[in-house]
Amino acid sequence: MKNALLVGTLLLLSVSCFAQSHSDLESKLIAMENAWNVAQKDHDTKALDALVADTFINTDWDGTVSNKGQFLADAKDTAYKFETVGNTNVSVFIYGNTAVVTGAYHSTGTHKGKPFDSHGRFTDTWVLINGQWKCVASATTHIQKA
Amino acid sequence: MSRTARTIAFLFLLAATLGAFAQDHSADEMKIIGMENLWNNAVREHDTKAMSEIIGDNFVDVEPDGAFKTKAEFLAMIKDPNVIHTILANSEMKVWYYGNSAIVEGNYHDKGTDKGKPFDFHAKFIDTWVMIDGKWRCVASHSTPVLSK
Repeated sequence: MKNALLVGTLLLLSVSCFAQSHSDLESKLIAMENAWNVAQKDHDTKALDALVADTFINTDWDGTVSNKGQFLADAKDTAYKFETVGNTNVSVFIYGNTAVVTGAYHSTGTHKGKPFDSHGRFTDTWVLINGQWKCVASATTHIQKA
Repeated sequence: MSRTARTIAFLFLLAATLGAFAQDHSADEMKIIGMENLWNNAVREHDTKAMSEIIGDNFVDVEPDGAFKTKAEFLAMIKDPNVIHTILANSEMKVWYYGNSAIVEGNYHDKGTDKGKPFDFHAKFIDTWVMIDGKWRCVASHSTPVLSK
């Protein structure tokens, strides 16, 4: 009986630690997604560089595919001025050293002085590389507003 | 064994190990590409059983119009006999391998009819594959229409 209680307690503790660590990771990845939006808004390529992997691939809402170098060059382009960039309905799915983050985004601003107001969906895949979570792939698709 | 013989033996073992690693990696890539093609067959044939084996239980999908689907919603969509695909083919697929996960990026062309109404579009896709219980499963698929085509 004593042993059963001990095993039960250890099991509960393990489950609790696992849940805690999953929840911590979810929070961490959501924070990194938010840091991404801030970096994009501020054209902060140094911050973006730290968030994405060297092998990063990005599919933009118009179907343009870019590698890390092209993505950072685009992010640097000050012709885009973001007023707001925000995510909603964000979900995190963790698979060991890989995680998928999905959600909706809304960005407003101007491009070469012309206003834009864009709603879309994103799917980001994060992988633990050398002890650090890095985004290896990002894809966005516009949602047509009725 | 002389020092030279030991060095040669070590280099031979190193080359064999690296070769085996590269081969495993390449075998996984080929397997995943094969599953991408099976995916298209399953969609064309409305084969939800085959598709259910390809995708993970927590699969998430973003369609070219931005619609978000869970595994159940995705399977219900491909089951719909009103959608007939005459062409569903991938091209220019590339695989990025990360050990227990992989990303496949590519193009697809989808042509057919939906309730008799024709459709024909080109899109980009990014699929995330994860090794779950010894099997590769797609856990996320995201499509983006190519606006220039």
